[in-house]
Amino acid sequence: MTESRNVAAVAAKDDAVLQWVTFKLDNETYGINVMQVQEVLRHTEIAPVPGAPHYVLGIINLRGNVVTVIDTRSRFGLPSAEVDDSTRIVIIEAEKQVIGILVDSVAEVVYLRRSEIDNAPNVGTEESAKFIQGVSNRGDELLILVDLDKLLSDEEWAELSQI
Amino acid sequence: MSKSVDETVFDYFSLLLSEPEEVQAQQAAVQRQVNVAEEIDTAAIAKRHAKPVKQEVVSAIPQPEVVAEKQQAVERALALDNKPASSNLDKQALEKLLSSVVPEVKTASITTENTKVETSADPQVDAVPITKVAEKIAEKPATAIIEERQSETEEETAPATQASVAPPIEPTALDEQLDDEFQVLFFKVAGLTLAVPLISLGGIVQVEHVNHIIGRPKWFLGVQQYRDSQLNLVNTAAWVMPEKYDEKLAQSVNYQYLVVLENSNWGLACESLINAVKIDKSQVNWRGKAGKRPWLAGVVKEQMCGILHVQSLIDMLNAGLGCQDPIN
Repeated sequence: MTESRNVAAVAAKDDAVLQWVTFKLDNETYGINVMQVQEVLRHTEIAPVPGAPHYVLGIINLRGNVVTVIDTRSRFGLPSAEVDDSTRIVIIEAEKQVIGILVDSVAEVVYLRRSEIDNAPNVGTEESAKFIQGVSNRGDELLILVDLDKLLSDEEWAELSQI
Repeated sequence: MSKSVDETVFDYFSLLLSEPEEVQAQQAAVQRQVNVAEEIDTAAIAKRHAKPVKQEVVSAIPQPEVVAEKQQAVERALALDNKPASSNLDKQALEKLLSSVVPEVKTASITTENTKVETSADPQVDAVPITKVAEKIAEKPATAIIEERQSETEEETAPATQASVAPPIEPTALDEQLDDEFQVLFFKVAGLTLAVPLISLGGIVQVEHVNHIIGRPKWFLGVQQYRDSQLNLVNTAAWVMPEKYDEKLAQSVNYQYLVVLENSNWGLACESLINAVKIDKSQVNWRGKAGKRPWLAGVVKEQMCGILHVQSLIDMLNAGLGCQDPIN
């Protein structure tokens, strides 16, 4: 009896529940680890930075701190879209840097067990394929889970810290 | 049927039957042999070696009249597409296949086929010459020579930088796995008809909500939920004929169904299901070797369409390989 409880406890520990902040981009739903999200902002003026890499939209002033905003659509290989009322800037921390990612909208926080996360189809050759860490079915929709640390390469993270 | 679709189908099967780049490679190889023979300065030996090989290559290159025959055959086949595909249409098998699809779709699909049957004049009249022409083409030494020399030619033409990720694919010949008489399902994609043996068919699913996943090749349509898991959707037109798949074709393709491959999580998107028919092994021009297209088991002579080697296709898809990607 005790043994079976231990087994169940180990299984439960392995099958940890993770929280994900979901956002929309081009009608698909993506999820990022809630522990990496600092805050969500309404769209504000983004000041372009001359000579910045193509994936950088510009910078914003967040309570006295300068935060670089990434063009997420461009990073994901998606066509650009007009900014509207639901556009948000999600402030995240990845690779010891605080950056903003521009998304179409932010939806909710969802709870997922590790066992509910499936591997993404392993057929991608493009750079954007590597930052999908898994997928999960939620009702009728598929949640695509993004590994924020892999959103940029080591060189790009280093480049970003120089802006 | 638009002209562009005719041309697409014709070009595709010309490619299937003649493998032009291999023919060119053979020509080059033969030319080298001829040069060596001339250098030996023994006219008789040179003649003995060069002449028969030249003849082989000449016969391997599609001659204008053969091309014309092929075009006529394909055009007739396309004309037939609006008539019953053949008299041995197996409605029961098709209904069984479509049982997993929603009822209204099943009705629509079968109604279309029935309508075609009613409006046809006489399928036998047109079907006979097509078979004859197809057999004639199939019996041409060109195909045989190409198949025999395929592995040799591939060694010459294969680039040194072949994808190391590609697993070795050594499929069992499909004709060895099948009974003498077996059923196939014909389906259509962008004017192109393909056949899949029913023993390799995992099911038919209607295309519903497709989730697009970033960073995937053009031939990867996305994923769709299917029985508590994800089905990976193959953009069949983009996979099978990437050279033809441009923006215009992408706009025109309207995928309706997914042909699920065996018990894999891969589904080939198709525009329409034609029918399920019982055919004999002899009605297929089987490919002797897997070659560059292990996914293609052969060509069904009467319908002039490719028959899929599903296991090899699954292996290629699992390895992330497109139709034209090099295979180790």
